Amino acid sequence: MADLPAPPTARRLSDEVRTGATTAAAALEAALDRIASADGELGAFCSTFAERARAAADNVDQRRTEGAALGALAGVPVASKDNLLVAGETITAGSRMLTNFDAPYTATSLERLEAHDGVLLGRTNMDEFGMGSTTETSACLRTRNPFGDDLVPGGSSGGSAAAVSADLCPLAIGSDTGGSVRQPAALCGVSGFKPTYGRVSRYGLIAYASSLDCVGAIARTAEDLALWLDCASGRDDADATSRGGAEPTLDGLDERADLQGLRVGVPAELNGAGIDDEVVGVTTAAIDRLRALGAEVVDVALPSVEHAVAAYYLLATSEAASNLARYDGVHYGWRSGDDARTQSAMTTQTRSSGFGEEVQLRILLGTFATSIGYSSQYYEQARRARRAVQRDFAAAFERCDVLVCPTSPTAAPRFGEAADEPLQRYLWDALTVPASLAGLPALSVPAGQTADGRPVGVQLMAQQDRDGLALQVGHVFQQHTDHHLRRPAR
Amino acid sequence: MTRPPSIDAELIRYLGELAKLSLPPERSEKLRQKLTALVEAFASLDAADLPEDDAAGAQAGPGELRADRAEPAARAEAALQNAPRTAADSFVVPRVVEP
Repeated sequence: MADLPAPPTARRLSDEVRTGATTAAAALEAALDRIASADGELGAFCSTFAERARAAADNVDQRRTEGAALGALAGVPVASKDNLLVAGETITAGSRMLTNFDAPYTATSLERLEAHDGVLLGRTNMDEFGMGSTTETSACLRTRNPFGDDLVPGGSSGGSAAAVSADLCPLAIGSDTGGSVRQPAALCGVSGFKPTYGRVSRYGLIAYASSLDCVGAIARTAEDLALWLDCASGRDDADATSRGGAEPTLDGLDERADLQGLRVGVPAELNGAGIDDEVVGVTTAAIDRLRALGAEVVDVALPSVEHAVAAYYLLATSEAASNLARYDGVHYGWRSGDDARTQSAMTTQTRSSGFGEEVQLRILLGTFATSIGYSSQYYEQARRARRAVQRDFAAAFERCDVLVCPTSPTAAPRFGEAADEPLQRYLWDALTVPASLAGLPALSVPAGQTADGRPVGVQLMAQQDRDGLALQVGHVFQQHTDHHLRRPAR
Repeated sequence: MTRPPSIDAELIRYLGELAKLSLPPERSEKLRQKLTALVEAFASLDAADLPEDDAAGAQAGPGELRADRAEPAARAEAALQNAPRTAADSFVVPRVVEP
């Protein structure tokens, strides 16, 4: 990317800062230089937090000078998705509705990174309120895939994936409701991880669908994602769904040199119909590599995942219709219709002009699915389908330790592809929403490219709270492959 | 299997009213077409033989709940920080009572 040197991984950079081989300030300025040089065309960042970041980096360097022990992310510049609050900074969730919203506090998941001496770098572009798989629904700007100007970066955390892929920073935080970290990571040729539901606090994450929303991360390596998880996870009194008590993941990564004794399940339902041939080919090669590393590969069945896309979209939009009711033009954000005769009319004008078309479609779908006369046929059935998916996973994990499938049925689409075909776009999430419905940890790692050079990722899913195992398998895979090291040519 | 409902302009208007969205005709028709495609596709769920939903969500629930005690409320200044219009420590909304 450009002519500037690529940054080291987060783990190596933090080691260098701790030992004095470099400084947090130097690492930050290098990242800001890369953004200034390359992001004008790429569009990964909506804005940087330069002033705040310089103060944080100077604090890290000062404390090192004074002999203080530095945290595990010492001096690492960390990008964060535009739906995670950073006190005093404008955060928009990619929506016109929040154009003027200044965050009153910092999200717990980011505070914890700062507590480990990470440096918050800037906010990355995203689909509006997380509703999209291409980052095209953002009201902020257009983000390109570093592997091709005409390619979308995936979404909704497309800015975070593009930033890491283009070497603007080593670590970027995203959120994953139905695949919004894993899918853009796959399309941009980097690694993305969604932890077990509840492992990382959502306090300060702008809500989309609360029974599904997870904070996740994107980096070049599984090792950096384990480093992030250990820093970010744990119980938070401000998020009742958060849980503590998990074992650290980073220390266990090197316990395995290979995959001897591990059973890898291949669900036919997520490895065949509806998936591009080239993606199937890359995935088959990745499975062969897992087998060559000592894993026993077994066939498993997840029959209920045929309902996963329908269940996911009905549940997510139902929750979104409720969560987004807070945007009323009164308490914060955009307002239109000050001359309206009633508050209700003002709110209607505000929402009609503040939300983009995709958000309005999803609010209507969620309102429909939960309305009298239709809820038993749609919303209640979706809840049952979710339960069936959870049971299928439980049965599958009696026969294997991790499951593998492609992350996305296709490599990166082009801008505007299937723009007026929402069902086709929703089917792009078919391979990631099952793990979301079941609350499972899932990792996407680069596994190859199509003939025209577009990255392809494979997904590793594990049982709840076995985040470390998914990351460990990904780490072993990356110790024996170089797909995660391939950079875009631009 | 129940037939998927017809998504007509009146239903779109009703849903818009519930969701507080005003949809001009062109946008309404475009959204109607998209919603129709989704509702028809997702109607397949109705015919599926699915287990009773005996779980509330993706997991069993929180490991522990915080103590049930009142915490200090947000300061008015903080609560009003992002409000589009304020006056005298209050949110300003259009008049709702005729003088």
